[in-house]
Amino acid sequence: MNEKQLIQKCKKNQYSAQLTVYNLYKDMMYNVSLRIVQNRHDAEDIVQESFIKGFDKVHQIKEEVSLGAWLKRIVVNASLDLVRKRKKEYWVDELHVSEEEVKESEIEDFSEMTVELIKECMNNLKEKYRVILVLYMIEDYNHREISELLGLKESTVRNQYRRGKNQLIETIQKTKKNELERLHTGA
Amino acid sequence: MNLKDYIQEHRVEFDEHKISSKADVIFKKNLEKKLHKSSRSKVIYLRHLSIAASFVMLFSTALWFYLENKQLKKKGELIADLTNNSTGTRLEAVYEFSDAFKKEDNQIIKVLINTLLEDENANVKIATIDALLKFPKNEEIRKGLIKALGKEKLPLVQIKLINSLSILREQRAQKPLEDIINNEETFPIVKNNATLAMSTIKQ
Repeated sequence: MNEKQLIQKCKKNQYSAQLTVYNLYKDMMYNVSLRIVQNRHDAEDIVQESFIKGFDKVHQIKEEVSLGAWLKRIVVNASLDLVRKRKKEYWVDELHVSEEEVKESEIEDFSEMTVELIKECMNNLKEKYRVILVLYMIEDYNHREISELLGLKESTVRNQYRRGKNQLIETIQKTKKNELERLHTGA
Repeated sequence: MNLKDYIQEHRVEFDEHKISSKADVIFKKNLEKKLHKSSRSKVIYLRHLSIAASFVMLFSTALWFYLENKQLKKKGELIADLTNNSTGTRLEAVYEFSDAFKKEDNQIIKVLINTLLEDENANVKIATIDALLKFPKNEEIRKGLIKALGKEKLPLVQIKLINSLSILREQRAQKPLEDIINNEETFPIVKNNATLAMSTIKQ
């Protein structure tokens, strides 16, 4: 069954089709949510609510949008809602800040880089930076999309992304340095 | 290469977590409860509705039987009273019919017509005429009134009958009216009423 047929069946509220969609996307949705809310229990709840909401509103899905991307958007929004609820007024637009004020650094040497290192360092960032980095770097949303998701100006998102990325790179480099030193000391 | 490119190259490794099987079970339950309850609840609703309808039907039937029995009992009592030896009881029965019986009942009408034809008391007969006039379109009542006019000897009742048939514009009353007018024994006041009625009916 192709995606179009699956969507049609979901539009008819067919239980079996809904379960197929759930099984196809549940882990993707779970990982997306978990990266944002960082709590397994909350992420599971959000995934469930998102699927139910998705099936309930499936008639709104546009033809050009893939089912996965559409569901992902729902789970991202739901996860961000929870983060907002937990921290209350969290992401705030920056006033009088131009895009040039924050310079973006970059990693030059990826030879010692690992996914685990990135994850660990990302998780140690302040939440407001971590979420923007997750959305941009892992979920592959652009700054405009993130600004829509967070209800912020695009310039604010860009600046916070750069700050977050700079902190991430700094943390990665520090961690790598510490590891090297540990190795040397150990040797 | 930049950091985002590196992450996107290793994107799959970021999705290492699996949702728990417990969550799967809960999801199925939630899905059934939230999006598939309508058909089930519709069935439950229909079931409840049919039970309620059955109760209503049962209650209505019981009520119908009760009311029908009550009416039958009342009717039986009324017929018995209409044929009672006591004038007072008969008169009360006629008034009871006027007040409480809103629908035509052929059996009672038959008894009332019989009362009109056979009763000895003028008051009972006059009250009976009033009671019968509740149903002016009833053919049996019209025929009964005509027959009573041909037979009646009591002047007060004769006048009541003449006026009633005049109001009803009953053409078939012309013959008994003529007989009354031509009868030498008829009271003058009755004759006058009959003459007036005749002219009204002929108009």
